[in-house]
Amino acid sequence: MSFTLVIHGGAGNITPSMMSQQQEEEYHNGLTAALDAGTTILKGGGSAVDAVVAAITVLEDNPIFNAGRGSVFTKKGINEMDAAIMDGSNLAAGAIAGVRNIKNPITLAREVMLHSGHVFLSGSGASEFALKQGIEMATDEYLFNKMRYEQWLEIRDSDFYQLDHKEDNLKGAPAPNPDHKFGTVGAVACDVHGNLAGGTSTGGMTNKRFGRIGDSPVVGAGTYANNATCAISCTGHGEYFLRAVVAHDVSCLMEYKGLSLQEACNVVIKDKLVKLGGEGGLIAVDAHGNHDFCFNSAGMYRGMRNSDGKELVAFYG
Amino acid sequence: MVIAIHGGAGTILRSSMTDELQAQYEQGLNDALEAGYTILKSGGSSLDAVEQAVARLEDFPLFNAGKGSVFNNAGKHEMDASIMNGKDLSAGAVSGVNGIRNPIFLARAVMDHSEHVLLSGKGAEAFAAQQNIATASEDYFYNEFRYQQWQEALKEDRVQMDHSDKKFGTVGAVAMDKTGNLAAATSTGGMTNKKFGRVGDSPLIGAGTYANNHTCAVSCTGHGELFIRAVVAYDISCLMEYKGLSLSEACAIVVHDKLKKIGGEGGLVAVDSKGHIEMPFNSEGMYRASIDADGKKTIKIYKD
Repeated sequence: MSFTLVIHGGAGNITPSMMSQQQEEEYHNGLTAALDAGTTILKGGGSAVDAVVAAITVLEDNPIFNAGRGSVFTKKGINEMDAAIMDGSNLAAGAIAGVRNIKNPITLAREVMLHSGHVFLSGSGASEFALKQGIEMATDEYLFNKMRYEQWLEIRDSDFYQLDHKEDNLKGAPAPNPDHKFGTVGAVACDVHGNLAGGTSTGGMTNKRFGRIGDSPVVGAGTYANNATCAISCTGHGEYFLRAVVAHDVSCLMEYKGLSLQEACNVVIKDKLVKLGGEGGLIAVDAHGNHDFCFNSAGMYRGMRNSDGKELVAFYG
Repeated sequence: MVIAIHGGAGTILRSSMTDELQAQYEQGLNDALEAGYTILKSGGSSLDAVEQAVARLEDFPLFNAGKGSVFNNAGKHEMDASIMNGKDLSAGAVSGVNGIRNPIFLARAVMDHSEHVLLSGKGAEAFAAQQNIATASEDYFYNEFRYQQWQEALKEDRVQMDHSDKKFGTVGAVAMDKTGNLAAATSTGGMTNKKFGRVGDSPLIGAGTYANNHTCAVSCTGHGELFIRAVVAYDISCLMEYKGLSLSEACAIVVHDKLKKIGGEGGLVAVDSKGHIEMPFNSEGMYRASIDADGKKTIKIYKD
C-alpha cells in the first residue's frame, strides 16, 4: 500500500539571492499545502488522478504560482490559462488551452477527459463546455493580481513577452522586468493501486499574444502518464518542450531502451533539451514509486511525499 | 528523394464510390504529389515540398482541409495545421483558425517568423494578418456537400468525422529531399459539427505530425483523440531510435497493434532517412499517393 506524490511550481533562475526569507516561507507553505491535499487522497486509497487534481487545485488557488488565480496577463491584459491531465491506467487524457475565467483549469481538464468525448478543447468553446458542465467560474477580480498586473504593465507596450520570471525575454534583449522563473504548476502521483497520473496547469507567458499555446496542455509534450512507464509534468520554455515531445520521450526511453526513470529524465532534460536550447525541468514518478526532479535551470519549486514518510520541499539546484 | 501524401482515412469503400468521383480523388492526389515532387527534383527542400503538396490538397474541395473544410457547430470552418522540419526539429502549428485560405502557409509562418510553435484562434488570425497570409471569404469555403453534411449532423446533434460514418478528413505530406532532410505537414478542417473549440491531433507536434532526420517524418489521419493519447507520430520515431526497429516495423506496431487496442482508427504516411515509404492504415481505406526513390508513382484508395 505505497504511494508517492511529486509536485512542482515552476522552474527557472531561482536562486537564494533573489528570495527573501518571507518569500521562501510562502513558497514552502504553498508547496506543503499542495502535498497535504494530494497525499490525503492517496492515503485514503484515492486515485492518482484525484490526488493530482487536488494538489494542482491548491497550487492554482495560491497567487504566488503562475496558474489559476496567479496567472499572468496576456498582451491584451487578460488571463488565458492552459491545463492538461492524463490517467496512466487507461491513457485517457483531457486538456484545455486559452480559457478565461475558470477558477481551476485542472478540474476543467479532468471534465474534458471524463465527459466530453474529446481530449483537447480550446478558447471560448472550452469555456462553453465548462459552463454546460457546471465548472466553477471566477471573475476577473478573482484572477486579478497586482504583482502580475505590474509585471505586465512594464512590458505591455513592447513586443517583449516573458516566461514567468525569466531574466531575459525571448527577443534577446534584457527584459524590462527581471523576473526569474517559468511559471507553471504540476503534479504526478502513483497511488496505492499502482496507477499513475500526471497533470499540469499554467497561465503561460506574460504579455503573450497571438493565442500562443505552450507545452502544458499538450499531451506528450508537457504532460504524460502511462502505468507501464511513468507520469511526467513539465515546466520550462514551452516551445522547446513541444518540439522535443519531452514527456513522452522520457516514457519511450524507459519502454523502448530500458532506461530507469532517472536515467531517462537526465537524457531528455540535461542532454537533449540542453542541445536544443530548451531551459526548464520536470517531475516524474514511475509505477514502483520511484520519483525524480530533473531540471537544467538554476532551480525549480518542488516537493514530494510518499507512504514511507519521506518528504522534501526544495527550490534551488 | 521521396514523397508521400494522404487525403484522409476511414470507411472508404468501392461500393460507395463512382468511377467519376474516384477519378477526381486520384487527380487531386496526383496534382499535389507532382507539386511536391517538382520541388524536390529541382533541388528544393523537403520542407517546401510538403508545404506545397499540402497547399494543393487544401485547395482541392474534396478533401477536408482548406477549401474543402467541414462546417463546425456554428456553421464556420475552423482549421488546424502543422509543419515540422526534421533537420533542426523546428516546428509551427495553428489551431482553430477561420478564414485562412491555406492554413499550412500560416503554420509555416509560425515556424519561420513567430518564435512560437503553436498559435490558436483569433490570436493566430491576428498573426496571419501581420504576416500577410492570404485570407478567404466564407463563400470560398462554402461547399454544398459539406453544408448538407453539417445540416444532417445538426439534426441528429452529433459530431461527425468527415463523411459517412467513419472517414477522417485530413490531408498531409512527408518527404525526403536530395540532401537527405526530412519534413512533415498536416492540415485539416476537423470534425463536422464539432463544438467547444475541439482540437484534434493534426496541429500537435508528436501526435499528428513529426519529423526528425535521424528517424522519420510522419503525418497522421484518424480519430484524433486516440492519436493524441497515443502520441502516434513521435512513438514511431522513438521505436526506431530507441528500439532499433525499421520504419515498417514501427508503423505496424503503432497502427495495427497499439492504436487498435485503444480503438484508434486511422492511418498515416511516413518516410525514413533512407528513403523508405510506409502508408499504413487500420481503416477500410486511405487516400494516399507516393513517389519512391526509384521514381515509381503509386496512387491508391482502398486496401488492395
